[in-house]
Amino acid sequence: MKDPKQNQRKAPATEVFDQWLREDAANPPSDLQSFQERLSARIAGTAPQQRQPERKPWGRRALAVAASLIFLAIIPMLFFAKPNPEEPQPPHVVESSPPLNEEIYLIADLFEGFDQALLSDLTELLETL
Amino acid sequence: MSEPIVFPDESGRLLERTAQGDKAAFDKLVARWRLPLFRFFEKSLYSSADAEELCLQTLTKLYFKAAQYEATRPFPAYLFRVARNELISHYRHKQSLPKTSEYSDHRPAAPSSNLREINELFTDALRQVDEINRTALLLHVQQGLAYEEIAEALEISLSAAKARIRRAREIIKPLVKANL
Repeated sequence: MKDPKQNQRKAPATEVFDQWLREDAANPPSDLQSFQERLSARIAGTAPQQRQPERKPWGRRALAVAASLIFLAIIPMLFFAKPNPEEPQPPHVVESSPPLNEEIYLIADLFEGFDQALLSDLTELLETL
Repeated sequence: MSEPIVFPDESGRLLERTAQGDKAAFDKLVARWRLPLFRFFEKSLYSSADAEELCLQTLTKLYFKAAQYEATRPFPAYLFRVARNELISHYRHKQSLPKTSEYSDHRPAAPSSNLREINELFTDALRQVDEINRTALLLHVQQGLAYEEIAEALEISLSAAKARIRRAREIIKPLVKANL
């Protein structure tokens, strides 16, 4: 439960602040008539600018259509393209790898205290395989 | 004979008439909403000149977007959504400019030193709040909008609108309390 004394202390600060938010502007704006004149001028000046985008997008539309066509042409090529059998294929490179038991010893070196008996058992098991 | 009840409100009706080309209806709308808009922008921007400019921009946008207004929506929510978009554009533009002239030159003048101190204290506290939380608080306290209207104006959920207001208060309260 909240302390009522604390609430009593908090209330005035919040109320004063809210009152400040609600109060009239410190610097009043220009009078209504001049404001409406400026607004009418702004509207009259903005109207032609707003019509401009109707003419402009033709270039952008053409660009977007061209980009879409290129994209649509490339996608099937990526998915359905098959390798040409006449073209020489790069030779497969087989990397030589160390024997398996050597790998186990290499791994064992990384872990101190690895059981040597278990290690030899594992090596024998792998050799039989 | 009494006037029929208009839904959603008189301002919404005026905007519908504006969309039909009624300039007198738009003038009435301007007369009704110019000062609330100005107060909203002034508290958001700390500048009377910028506030008036944004009033002009918002009402110009409102005029051209009048046809997009849906009469079933509350008008204040629609108006302040347009206003907030203008405010955000203004902030973005300001960010690309040098910050030296933003605050100190435009701080609203108060008549006495005591009032000026309080004004500065509250302005500083309000500045500490993020834009969306500050706007939610201003719409709630200054403009008296309902939570549903605030949610619609900010394009967030009802619970998010309440949380934004609560967050703004959480930031402002200790700043104000410590200095009052």
